[in-house]
Amino acid sequence: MRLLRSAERERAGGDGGGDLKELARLAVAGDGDAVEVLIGHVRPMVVRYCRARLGRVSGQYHIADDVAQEVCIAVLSALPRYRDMGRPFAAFVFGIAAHKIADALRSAVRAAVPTEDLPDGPDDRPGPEETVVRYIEAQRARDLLTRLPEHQRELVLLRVVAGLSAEETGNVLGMSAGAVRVAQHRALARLRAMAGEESIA
Amino acid sequence: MTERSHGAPDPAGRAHSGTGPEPADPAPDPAELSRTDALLDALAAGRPVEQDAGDPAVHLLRALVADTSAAPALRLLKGGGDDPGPSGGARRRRGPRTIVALGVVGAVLATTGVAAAGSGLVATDAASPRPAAEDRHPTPVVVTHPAGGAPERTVARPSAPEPRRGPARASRQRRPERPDDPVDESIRELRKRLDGLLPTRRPARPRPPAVPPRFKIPRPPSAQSLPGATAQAAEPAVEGAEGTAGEETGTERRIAEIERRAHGYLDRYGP
Repeated sequence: MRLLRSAERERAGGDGGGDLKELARLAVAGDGDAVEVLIGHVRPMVVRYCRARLGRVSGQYHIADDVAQEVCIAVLSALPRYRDMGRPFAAFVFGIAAHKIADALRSAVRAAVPTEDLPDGPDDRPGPEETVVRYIEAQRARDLLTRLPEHQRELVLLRVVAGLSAEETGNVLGMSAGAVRVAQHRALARLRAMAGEESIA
Repeated sequence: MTERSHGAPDPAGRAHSGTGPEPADPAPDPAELSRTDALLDALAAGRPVEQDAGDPAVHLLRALVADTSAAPALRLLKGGGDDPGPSGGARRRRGPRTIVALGVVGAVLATTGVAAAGSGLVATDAASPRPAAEDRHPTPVVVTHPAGGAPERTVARPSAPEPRRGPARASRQRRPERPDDPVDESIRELRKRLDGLLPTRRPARPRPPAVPPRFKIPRPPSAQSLPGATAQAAEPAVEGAEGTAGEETGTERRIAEIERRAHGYLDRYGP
């Protein structure tokens, strides 16, 4: 438990750039609390990443969320076989996520979209106008990202949407941290140029 | 000399691999690199950045991050239940709704016949005889085959099961009442109101007082009083004893007739 707390502290104090290595080690050893904390850290990143990659279907993120759930289940299933080879645990997770997303893109189906229950209380979410504006801007961002080279697009998504550090992104993509910093600088410059062209047009 | 086909990339042009550093691009300034790195870190963490207002790319990336982060699916449901997830509202609503539903059910049950009879709101018919245990569990009937075969054992069809009022009431009385249970309290309150509305015991229906008959109902004329009746028929002269004496005479006569026939049969067929 003390090790778990220290690993969690390390993760929380690392402003998103810390490593999940210690938590992963405890989880592989069979610590149930460590597994729960590990999935609690990994899942939001995976959900955001899947949403950014797959986008909305019929205005909803259900398919992306289902894929993220499959990724988490696959991570849990593969956890006993995980061996620390010097790469961060996030590389292991996003490797699985990339495969799951590729599977989902191959079998892209338009399934029935479940709807939420009618709210029985005040809704503190943004209003319709704000939601539509955010939706349009997010869609524009996705369109611009699709015009980037695939490697740069993946890099930006891992850095910004999944929240990985430059080192973790480099481990996922097989690059050094310095190469990631240069590539992300160029990707951002290209995004700026494309956004400027769109606003002029 | 080979010629380039139409549409093929110009080898002298810019490379578009997109992965490595492009040869035409100048080497980026390290300060710019670190600024971009801090900018992307701030975007990922959702912190405000200076370039957000004027940079359309940063604005769009921030919108993308907000869009992918704004949904309840990001919350991990825990077993402890301290996280109000999508089903949290339903869990909060379940208590009052259950109490209301049980109150309505209790009111319906209290006003129906079964519960009213069980709680004593309606007087039960104590005078109606309850079937005995042997009536409820009929004894088997043995039927002898007319051809002299083995007797067949048949069971009479059981009657319809009687509603078990006694044990149900006993179980209800055995149930411990918890004073702090809101459902029980609401049911007790409803029952109390019903007790106030309806009398627990209906007063016995007043019977008409026994009034002595003011005049005698005329009897129909009997055969003895008719003119021309025989003297034998007119034998019982006392009123009230004439029927009894006549019945006894008829019975003795029938017994004597039976004895006479029996003796005749014995004489004819006996040993």
